[in-house]
Amino acid sequence: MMRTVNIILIGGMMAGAGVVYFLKYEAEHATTRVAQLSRQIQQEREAIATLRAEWSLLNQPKRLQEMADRYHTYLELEPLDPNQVATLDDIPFRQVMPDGGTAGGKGPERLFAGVKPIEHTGTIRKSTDRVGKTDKPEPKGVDPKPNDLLNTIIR
Amino acid sequence: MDAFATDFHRGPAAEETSAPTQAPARGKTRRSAAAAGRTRVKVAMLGFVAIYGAIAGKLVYLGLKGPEHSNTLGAAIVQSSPRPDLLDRNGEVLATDIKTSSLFAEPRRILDVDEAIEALSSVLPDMREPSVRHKLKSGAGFVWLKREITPEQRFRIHRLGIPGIGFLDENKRFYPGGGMASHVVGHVNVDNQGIAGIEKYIDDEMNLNELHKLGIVADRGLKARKLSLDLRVQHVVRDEIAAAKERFHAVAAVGIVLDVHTGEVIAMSSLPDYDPNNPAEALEKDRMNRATAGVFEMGSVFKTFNSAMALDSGRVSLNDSFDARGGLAFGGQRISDFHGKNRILSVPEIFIYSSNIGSARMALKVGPQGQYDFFTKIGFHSKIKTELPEVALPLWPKRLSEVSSATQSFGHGISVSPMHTAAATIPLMNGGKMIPPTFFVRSRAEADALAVQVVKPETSEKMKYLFKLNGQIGSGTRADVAGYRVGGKTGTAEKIENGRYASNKRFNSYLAAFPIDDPQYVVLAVLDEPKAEKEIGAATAGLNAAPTVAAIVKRIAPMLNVPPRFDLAPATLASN
Repeated sequence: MMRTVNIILIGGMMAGAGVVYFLKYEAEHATTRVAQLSRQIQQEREAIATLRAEWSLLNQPKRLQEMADRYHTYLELEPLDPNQVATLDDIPFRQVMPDGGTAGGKGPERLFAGVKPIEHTGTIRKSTDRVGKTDKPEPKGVDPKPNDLLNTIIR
Repeated sequence: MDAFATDFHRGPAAEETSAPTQAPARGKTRRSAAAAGRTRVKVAMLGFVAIYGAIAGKLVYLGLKGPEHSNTLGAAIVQSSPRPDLLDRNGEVLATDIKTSSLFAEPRRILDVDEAIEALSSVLPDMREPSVRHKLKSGAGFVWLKREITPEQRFRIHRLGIPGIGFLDENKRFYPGGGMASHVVGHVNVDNQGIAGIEKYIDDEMNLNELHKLGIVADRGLKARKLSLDLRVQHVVRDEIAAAKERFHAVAAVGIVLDVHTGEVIAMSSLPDYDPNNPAEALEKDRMNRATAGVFEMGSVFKTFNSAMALDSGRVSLNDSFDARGGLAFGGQRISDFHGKNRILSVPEIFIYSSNIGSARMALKVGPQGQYDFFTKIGFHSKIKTELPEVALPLWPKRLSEVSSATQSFGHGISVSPMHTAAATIPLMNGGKMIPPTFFVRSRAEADALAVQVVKPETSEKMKYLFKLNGQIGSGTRADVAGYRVGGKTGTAEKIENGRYASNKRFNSYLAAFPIDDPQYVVLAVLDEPKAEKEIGAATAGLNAAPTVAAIVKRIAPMLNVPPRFDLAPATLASN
């Protein structure tokens, strides 16, 4: 009787020792991994900081201006003129042909077709204001397509 | 050890079994000897238990302490304190920390000094210097050989494998913009401690140096600080004043852009400036920050504040007229006009023709005390309350008198910094609220909490009208940009040389706001000692400082989301 109990106890003890050893080993392994990862994170952060510094170095307005000047003949980039700034109020609708824009051929052919486009006043902003107010967004004489398009853009 | 312990145990056990048999025969002395022996054994056992217990305890302690140990090692590597990044209002980097390696030696551990120097100099030629040999032979525990080496040099030295030579990673401050915003951002010393500008301010504010001395190094835990500067606007201002400085051969130039509603400094540049990556330049003469740390007699731009004072006092209205004929004499001194009209001028005319006599008469109507109080209110008698450590106290006459009041009305006899001038314009453009300028982002609500009403809203409206008028038909026409409605006041001051005003040395400025129908930004451009261009002939502010402002506004207005408008009625001179 005592013998079996002893054997069980010894077995249990050995198993316990084994498990503890295993756990200890695992924990050590995990600790090393944690240290390794945090070192790696640190390195990555430093690398990010360095890259950010480099990015802002390359993006300095001064440098960009020098580049724009140097490649001016090729890129033809000019400073913005106040006349080039516009709002939606300043953009008129595309002129619509009486038959929906298909008659009279395409492209340059249309120029010779002699069909006058329908004149309508109003701008995109005014139209979108109307779109916002009523469920029927199509004023007369206006091509429904740009309105639908705007609807999807605005909503 | 176990074997030894059991062996030891067997001894007393055997003795104990034999003891009772021998006890009756040998008598009392024998018995007491055995008891003494047992006590001794017990003491020995206790001793061993204590020793092994201590060893086991220490093992457990070390086992638990493991990871902490490696952390302290990591922290020791960082030598100079990490600093928070400085960003502009859009998140662009103005200053950041990058890691660099520094080379050190432990001379006691170096086996052969000559060999070490020979090897090192194959990578770093300056290691051949006698001072290096001296350091290495000194037998000290630790010496720096070279701070801030490149990663490539580090790699090559590492490969040499010289004993007693090592590297330490250090934080190094890096300013990608170079001199771009040097006078705002400031710079640090070799230990990464802020010694100028906002760098110094954040050190003082966060006690970074104290923390570092205590050994608390919160690496990367520092939150980036957002400045009010806009990098793009800053570049434009610097670029344009540099161009003007060159074109008019000025010795120095200043450009400032302030947000009228929040007091934020959108751009501030003072030329010549320096590259904070090379802080030694900052010590050179002439490279001081003229925008906040220099005081100057600003000249006619002061007629702006004089007009505001007169209109705000209620004693002068826009329809009033003053005699600007001849001159105004105070004892031996005489005030005369540069662009003399020699007739009676209305208040708007005094402003646009920049009449010294008219301005002096307006100031006299308010009185020296009224002028003193008004200048105190708009900050001309104190340092600017802002984050920058480099701020100067204005100079003003300590005794109130009519003559000094008259000269101050057109900006002579009182010296303030350009930033004072720009900041004092804020209330004249935003409805009367004085807001201290700031270099950190500030919301409208925060600004309103700080704001002090210094002039009436009506006065602000009248000043906008005067600015607009001068921008359209007065001396500031060259500052106007089609669509962006720039209004402002020119200032052409003569500089004092050897105690006298020198007519050939000028201090020119243009103080502007745009868009003038609803001002959003104050722009100030200053040129110190500009020379006339040959074909124009004069060196007045309207010909050099005003076009500089125009060039700045034209480029920054789209960046600052100011929409151009062409449909506004022009300002007219009210007939009286």
